[in-house]
Amino acid sequence: MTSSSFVERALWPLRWPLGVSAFAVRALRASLRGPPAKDTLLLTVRLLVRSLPVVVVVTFFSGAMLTVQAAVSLAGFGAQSVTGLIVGFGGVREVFPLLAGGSLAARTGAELASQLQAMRVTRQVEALDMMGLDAMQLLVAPRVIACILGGPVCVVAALVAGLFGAYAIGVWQLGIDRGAMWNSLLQAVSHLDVYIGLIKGVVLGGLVGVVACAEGFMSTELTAQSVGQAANRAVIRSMVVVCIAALLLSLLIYGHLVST
Amino acid sequence: MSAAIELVAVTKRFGTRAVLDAVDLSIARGKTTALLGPSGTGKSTLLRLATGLLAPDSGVVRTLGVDVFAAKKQELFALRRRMGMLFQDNALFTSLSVFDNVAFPLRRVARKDEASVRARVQELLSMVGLPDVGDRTPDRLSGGQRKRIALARAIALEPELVLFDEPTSGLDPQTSASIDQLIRDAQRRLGITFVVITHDVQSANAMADDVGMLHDGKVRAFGPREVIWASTDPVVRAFLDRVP
Repeated sequence: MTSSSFVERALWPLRWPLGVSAFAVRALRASLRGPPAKDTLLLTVRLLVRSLPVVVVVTFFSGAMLTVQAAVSLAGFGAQSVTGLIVGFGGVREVFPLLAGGSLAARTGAELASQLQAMRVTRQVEALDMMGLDAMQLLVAPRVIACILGGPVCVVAALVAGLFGAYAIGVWQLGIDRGAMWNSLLQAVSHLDVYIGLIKGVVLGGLVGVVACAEGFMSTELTAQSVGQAANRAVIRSMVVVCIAALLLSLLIYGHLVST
Repeated sequence: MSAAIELVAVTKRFGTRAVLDAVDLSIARGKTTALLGPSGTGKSTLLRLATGLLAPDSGVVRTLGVDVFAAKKQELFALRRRMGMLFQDNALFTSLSVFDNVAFPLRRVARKDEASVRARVQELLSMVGLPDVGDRTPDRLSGGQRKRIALARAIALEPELVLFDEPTSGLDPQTSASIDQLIRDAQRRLGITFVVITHDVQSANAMADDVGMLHDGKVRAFGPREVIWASTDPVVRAFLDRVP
């Protein structure tokens, strides 16, 4: 084995993270140059229209499921009335923002990657290059910014839908007292948690945008088949990145509370 | 005046295979030059080298007097704005209407006002013989119509050089002939340099002033069309006469 191939193999696991990081820097620079405002606005609206229904449905049922499990666990202690507290803490701080990021990755990540890869396969990106236009500025930057803008909106929708799901199943199905359920849910949610959720939305949305656009822009294969493959990779990789980022954010924001 | 495209000892390899092998070539301005050759002989590679979309392994490529690979990014973008390109599969923006496709470089590159854009797009659509398709999307056009729209977009900014990658590929003989005629007429009307990559001998005969033939990574023959058509070189003859 030659030394260069040994180095290549040794660095292989880092190839993707390094490539995406370099792409993120290019996307950031392109964003700072000022992407077309109208395209960015339209893409943000499109992202919200397409992703919000998925986010709402997923988090509504997740909130309901969390409530069932919390109620079952607490029933043995006769503490069903604080079910909302458990769901509020776990859901608002962690589960709902994570699911919002995951839903965004599934719905919008796949779409962005397939759009960009299809444009490369049909040489539309080269056509922009040939006009002396910067494809990163015209195509990637508006999509990443749309994800950064849409992420927090998705998180807020996830929080509302998740809490409503918890309330609905708790009150209408499990028979928990309305006032107790509502109070315990709200008791768990502070303004700070909502602000943190918004920050998570920005970070997770940005990561989904960068990873999805990278998958649509970095592939060397330009075949019809590669469009589907790019979409598939975008969903899987952006979901993994969202999960890792959500954990790191939690450790960063709430980790110190464990030691104090 | 410098050549439209000049290659000096240009080599380009894909893996171990040299698609272009120390190629020297000079394409004059103000004419239509057709580069002929069988598939896989480096014709499209040559075009992509001339635009800076691909880098050579060695040698110098000058387009419109600019050393393409010594140019900085902004200089390369400026050079490309002096050129137009018609891609093999047209590369029209599928999400935009025909009108918006042709208007795209006028709005985004030249930043013309909307009234000027409308007037210019209508002029271009009329020139390519499709004045009434502006509100359609490219997927609702025939192959020949898409070529015409791609040509309208390629010449929208009044470039000095237009590159055509297999403009008649996949078209029926009659439509091919009409595209040949359109390219010929457009070159005469605009007086700019057209470089056409093709393996279609009839198309080259119909539109080219100069003809070059690529074979085994080299320029096998280059000169005025009449001279190439009278060539006795067995490789050139075999290609022109379609000898298997």
